Amino acid sequence: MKSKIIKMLGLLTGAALWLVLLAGTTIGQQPDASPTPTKSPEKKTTAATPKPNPEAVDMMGDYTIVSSLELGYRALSVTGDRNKYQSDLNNRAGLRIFDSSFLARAKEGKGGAFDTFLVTSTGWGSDPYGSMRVSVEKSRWYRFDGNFRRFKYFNFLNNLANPNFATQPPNPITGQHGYDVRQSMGDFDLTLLPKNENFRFTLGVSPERYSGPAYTTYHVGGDDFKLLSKLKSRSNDFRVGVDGKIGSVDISFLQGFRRFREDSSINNVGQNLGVNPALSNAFITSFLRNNPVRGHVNYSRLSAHTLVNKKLDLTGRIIYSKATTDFGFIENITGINWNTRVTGAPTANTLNLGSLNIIGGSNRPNALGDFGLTWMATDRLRLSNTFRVETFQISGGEFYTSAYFLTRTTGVAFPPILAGGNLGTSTLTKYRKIQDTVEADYQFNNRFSMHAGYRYGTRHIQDFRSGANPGALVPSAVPLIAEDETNHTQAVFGGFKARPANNWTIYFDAERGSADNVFTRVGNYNHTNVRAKSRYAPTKKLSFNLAVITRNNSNPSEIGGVSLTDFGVNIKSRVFTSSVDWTPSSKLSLNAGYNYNWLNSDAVVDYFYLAVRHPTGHSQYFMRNNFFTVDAVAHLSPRATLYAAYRINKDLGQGSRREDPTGAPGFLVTSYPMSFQSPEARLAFKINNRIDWNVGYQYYNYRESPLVGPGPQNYHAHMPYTSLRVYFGKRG
Amino acid sequence: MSSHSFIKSLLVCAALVAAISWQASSSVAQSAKPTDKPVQIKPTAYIVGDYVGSEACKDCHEDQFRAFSHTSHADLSTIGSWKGKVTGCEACHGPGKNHIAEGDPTKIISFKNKPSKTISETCLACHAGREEHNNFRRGEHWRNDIGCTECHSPHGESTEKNTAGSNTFVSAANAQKPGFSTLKMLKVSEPQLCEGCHSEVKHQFNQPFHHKVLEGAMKCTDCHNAHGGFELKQTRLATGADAACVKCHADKQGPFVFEHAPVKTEGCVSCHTPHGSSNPRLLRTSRVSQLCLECHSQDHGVGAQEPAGPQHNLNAQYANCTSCHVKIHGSNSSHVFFR
Repeated sequence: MKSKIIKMLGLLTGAALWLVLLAGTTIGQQPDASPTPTKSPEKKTTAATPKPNPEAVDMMGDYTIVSSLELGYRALSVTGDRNKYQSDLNNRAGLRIFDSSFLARAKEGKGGAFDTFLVTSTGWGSDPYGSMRVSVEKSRWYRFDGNFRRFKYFNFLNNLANPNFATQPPNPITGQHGYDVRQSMGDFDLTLLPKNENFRFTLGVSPERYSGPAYTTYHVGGDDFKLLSKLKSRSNDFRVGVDGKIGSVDISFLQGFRRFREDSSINNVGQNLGVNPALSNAFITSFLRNNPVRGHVNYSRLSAHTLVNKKLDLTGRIIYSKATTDFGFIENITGINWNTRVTGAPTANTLNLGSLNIIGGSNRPNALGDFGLTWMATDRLRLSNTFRVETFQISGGEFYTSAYFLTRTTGVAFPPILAGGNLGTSTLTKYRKIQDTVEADYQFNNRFSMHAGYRYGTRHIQDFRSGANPGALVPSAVPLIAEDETNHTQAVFGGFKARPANNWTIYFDAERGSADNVFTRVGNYNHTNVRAKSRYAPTKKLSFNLAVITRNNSNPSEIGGVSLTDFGVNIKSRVFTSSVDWTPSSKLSLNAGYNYNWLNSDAVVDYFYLAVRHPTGHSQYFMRNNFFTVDAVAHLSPRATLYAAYRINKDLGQGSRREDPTGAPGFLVTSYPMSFQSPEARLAFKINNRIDWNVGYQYYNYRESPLVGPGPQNYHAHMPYTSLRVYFGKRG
Repeated sequence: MSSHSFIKSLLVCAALVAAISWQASSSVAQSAKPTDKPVQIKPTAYIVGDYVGSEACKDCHEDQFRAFSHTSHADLSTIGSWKGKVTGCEACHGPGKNHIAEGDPTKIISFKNKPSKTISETCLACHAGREEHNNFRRGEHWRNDIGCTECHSPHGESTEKNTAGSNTFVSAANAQKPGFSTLKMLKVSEPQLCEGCHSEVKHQFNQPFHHKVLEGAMKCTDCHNAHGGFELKQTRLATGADAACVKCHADKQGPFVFEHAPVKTEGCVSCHTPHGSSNPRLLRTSRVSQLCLECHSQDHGVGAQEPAGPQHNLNAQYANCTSCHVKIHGSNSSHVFFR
């Protein structure tokens, strides 16, 4: 029953929409009573702004209706790698509901059951991503916001989890982690008395469902096997809260409950030769796995805010949550030639039954406290401090039993292998973070302001693990972990906003940070980030945007007195972006932009290649991506409107650099050189006051370099479409 | 030019620009002297009788009045908890009696050419107490002087056009497309509004793999709180204090018996680029093994446990770590994330 909640909510929402639409079209035959707009002196400031078209407005009793629904059909032709096409786009041929909306708004801002009723929807039918959002409000009494989303994910790629990736055979098969799943989710929130200053109540629910077939891989018995699994999980998040004011203090309290369950399973019958298909190697004849997981999170959030004497802003927030997971794990395997290293039984053999049972659970209490203070020292100067402390502790444990029954090919039974029972593992992770930020901002005048600040942080992580290696047939201990790491970070930052002229604004900010220890080597520890942006609008019809963003990230060069200059990670990125918006007339608007993304990443790594260890090899990743976009809308005549656009991402990647994994120290060099472009055009004809006819065409061209994987996954996709847009509103 | 030199040059340039801008703005600001001082709205400084009510504004400002009347600001006077407080036009613009009597624009508070923070303070006088807005004064937008009216239209007017797109219809009626912007009083709908400034992310949402923002199935504000917040990048939290990602990716939330520590301590962005990427699974690198090795290489006690040979030979099928370590986000039954 619970699994139907999201569908029922979606159906109810859809039904409500259609009932209102139906009523709207019936009552909407009444004359348009909307008054003729008049110009006021201040209107000149928005003279270039397109005004709502009064023709598309209808009345329904005391409500103004603005609505349209677009239905159409899309054809599809794909040449090339269809798996990659579906992984990227997944648009299908067929009926399609385009961007549609319905707005009923009370004429004078006050209506009967609602003041405003808005539904927007896009991407249903043959589109892979559908969304519907609903907002209903009677501001004195309630506000309801809801959204329902459905995703169809498809992913079969030859450059991910592909055992042939490195060998590059002439006919590369796809990777082994493909899936074709559906995910649907929603957020439904009701606020009672939304405008009441003293107290407001909130109720909310967010269901989520995920299911579908997916391939996974399993390293067992001495080989790697591709298995078909059935993914199935769902979660429901329930929330209840109250906001209000006690004296001069704004209080907000939220209590939430999330329930999660996963019932993914694998049930494969038949011979599975694995990645190494020689019959002398292990292979599976049947495989069953059930791994039910039940999780719940209870969380509480309390926030408070006050403004003392209009000078001192104080904000505090405490969040406490406790997440718990319980699980069971049952795995039954039959097969041939289970590796001696695993079982102790000599090959050749027959695995009549290999069974593994695990039960366990974990929990994570988490506390987070934030306190912010801003002192408005003068009308121009503000000083702020933000303090955070966060702790969590994850403790987990599990027990396992396993039983393996093998027979020698001679027909002689091998003694059963039994392991587990009281063998278990326990893990513990403790985390504590403290961070404080001091900053100031100063408003010199209405054209220039600046800010500066300092952030200090410290983190402490403890990690413990001990016990038996889960699933091991020959009981063995899991590698013991007892780690204790601390680091301290500092950062200074600052920036300004300047308006050298009325129509020109410049933003600039920079941050430089350092750390004395690292937790993950690619983390953002020693860094220098710079960002500059400019917006220039010489006229109301023309504007230019420019931005430069640079980031230099690296690990500390020294930890505990040990130089790490030869074991560092350096990541540098440069982004340049520009765009122009031009609306030469009410009949034409143009937008164009160019973006260049430059990235160099270099990390010293320790790897094996051809059985040779390269302890100070380099892992390098490059990006040289050029993105260009242009789009135009032209109202060709009172009845015809044209939309045309072109977008291209072209990444040149590593250029002429080639990897040399056998060298000393050895270089692993990768990138993703590719181009992805999409021109499109759409022509809309106004047939009559209630109907537009649209015809459009979209084309995708994807090409990638042979450097990317075992075989280029290039494709072309042609998508012509036509549709009718029906306006539920009077149009002249 | 080395990167350090480049950044130093950039910083010097920025300092020069700042100096020139300051100088320029100071000289330009001379002509705007009457308005350069930030204005604080202090209703208590006014005499109650000076307030004339929003209806009085209607005669001259009909367009604004009509647009305003549809907003949730308009009917506050009918709500009990707002009784006795100034609502409507004068809540922001101050008492209108003298302005109406003399027709003098200087006798009413106008926000034209006011600094963003000054305008924002006016909004915060009412909105600061809401959980969503509590930390605006310490957020990224405040810090960079982006005020409320950069995104919101306080009168509820649609002051900027929605631009057509692949998933947005185009016709003569395009400009009046209703969207959530109508209710949130946004100038235009997301993501167009956000991309107006954050154009650097636009290309990411056009990459082969991306979160479905341009398709309309997601919004920037699903993950980010534009009004600030205590989190870096103004991200939201899910189910208490978890990262926003687990709201949808529920199976990654855990807790797990065997955690992949960076997921919890560093966050999903350790390995993923959330907006979009040409790399499968939105990974930071195109080859999985390189991404893993960048942490799982050890020297001087730095780095996670490294893969040992020969089974981790990069020239074999083991080049893709997640072929075996499939439960890389965390596992309940395998300390090496096999199942």
